[in-house]
Amino acid sequence: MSSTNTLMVLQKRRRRSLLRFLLLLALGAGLWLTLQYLNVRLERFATLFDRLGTLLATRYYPPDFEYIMRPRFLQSVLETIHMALLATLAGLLLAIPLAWLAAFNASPLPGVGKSAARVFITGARAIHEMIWAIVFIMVLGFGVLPGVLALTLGCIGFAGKLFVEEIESIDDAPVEAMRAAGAGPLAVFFFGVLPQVRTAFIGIGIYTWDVVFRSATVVGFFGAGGMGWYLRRTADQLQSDRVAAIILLIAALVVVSEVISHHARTALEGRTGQRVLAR
Amino acid sequence: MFESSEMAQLRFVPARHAAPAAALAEPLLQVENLRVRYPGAPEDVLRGVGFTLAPREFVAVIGASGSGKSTLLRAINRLVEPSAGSVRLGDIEVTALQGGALRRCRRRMGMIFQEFNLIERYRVLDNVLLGRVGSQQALRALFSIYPATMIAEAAALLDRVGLGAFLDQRVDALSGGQRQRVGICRALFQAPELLLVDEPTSSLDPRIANDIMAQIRDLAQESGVAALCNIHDVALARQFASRVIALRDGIIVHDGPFDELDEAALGGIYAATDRSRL
Repeated sequence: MSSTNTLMVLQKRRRRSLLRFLLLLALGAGLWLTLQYLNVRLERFATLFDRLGTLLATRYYPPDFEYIMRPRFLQSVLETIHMALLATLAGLLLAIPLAWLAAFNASPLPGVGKSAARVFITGARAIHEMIWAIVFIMVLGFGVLPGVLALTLGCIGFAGKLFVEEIESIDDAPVEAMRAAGAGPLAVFFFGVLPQVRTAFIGIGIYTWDVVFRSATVVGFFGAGGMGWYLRRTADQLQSDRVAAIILLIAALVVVSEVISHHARTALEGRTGQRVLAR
Repeated sequence: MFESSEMAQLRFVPARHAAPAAALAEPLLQVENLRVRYPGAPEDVLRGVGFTLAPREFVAVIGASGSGKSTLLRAINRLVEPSAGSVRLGDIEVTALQGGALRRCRRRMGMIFQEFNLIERYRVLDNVLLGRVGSQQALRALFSIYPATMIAEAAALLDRVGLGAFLDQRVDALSGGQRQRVGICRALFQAPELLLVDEPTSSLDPRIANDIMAQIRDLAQESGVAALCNIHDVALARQFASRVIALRDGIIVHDGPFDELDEAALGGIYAATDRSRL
């Protein structure tokens, strides 16, 4: 390499190094500005754990486990599980055709249909399940139905986006073969697209169940059914021992749900030999 | 499924046999002034291609990479949209068809692909049965509900190409040559009038390539099906095709018996093609 080239390479490396340093400096400045804007006093962190420990020991301990064993509360737990199941199934069943419509490489309606499906999925994802729950409660009143609808929309937004990404990364060859054989759009989807994304879809479905179940435990906070309503009532009445018991139960249920999901994913990976979405 | 004695008695009976003598006079496929330009491309990939294909004829299409061979086949069954020109299959103008009419027309043209284009997770038999997916209800096919006669026909066809023992194997467990045989069976199971064969041996070693070409030719003849076959390998084209269409930069530079092509002509066909087309 000539000395001129070496000099150019060195200058380039120096420029890149300076750029990295400036970027880091900008990030630090941005963080400092945000803290100033929000008036966050970092010194308060020093007492956080001490105060948290005192609060838990004096007000949340011991948890009132007798409360969460009451039949009415247990009924709300079952209601929560059913809400999550229904919303996940409905959401996934709706998300699959919507994802097919929205995928740029496989949409049977590449014009308006594709755009409408993309807008629907993005819209469902853009607004949080809790906001949807409030909206549906305003329209339909309190109860399980607004909760299920809110969770279903959340499921469509979440799973729909992942389904679209999976469909958009398929191999086009089987799709081409089905089209060449004179298959209609539905057959092209069933035999050209679905076999390639089936394993990924199941993995996404299991993961979606985890997310929906977590949300289902709290949509009741706004009166949309399930155990969340009990959480809000006990919190409002400052019955901290009951709040502690409910939070521990939610954590236990989420852990059990995730253990089951993990086993389902592992079994699927063993059967298909493919890596299944695991986050 | 089937006992081996039953299998031995089954023979693939193509749905369409030899065309009547009167029909032989009429070309099966007529391509006129066909032009294709891909979106955003500066020039046409096919520049006014025209030829005819008689029923039962086996024609090889040769040419360098980028000469437009694959585009030609895909423009005939409209997997690629022609920008101008005419493609007639029998008395149907393919370029004018839309929706269901186009799909019905495609069912008359079986296609064999370079990379097989099989559904890897499906069994061999299911892949072949999908050759008739266009004429089946998608939901019935999804649940593998096929008439017993159709299953027997597909099994007999697979037996004919030596895959009788692999009916229940997943396709991704097969070798390249076996996969291509499944692809051939799928295309023929469609009971087409025309086979569009796109570089069927490019992914295979020379010995297997020879067998595959022989099977395509023999099965096409037995079924009374015409075939338009892209072949990169000139020796294979010489061995199996009675007539050769040579493309260079999207233009037909030869259409006739292979014997009329001398070394100089072949050199011209495979001379450095316009690199912008690759």
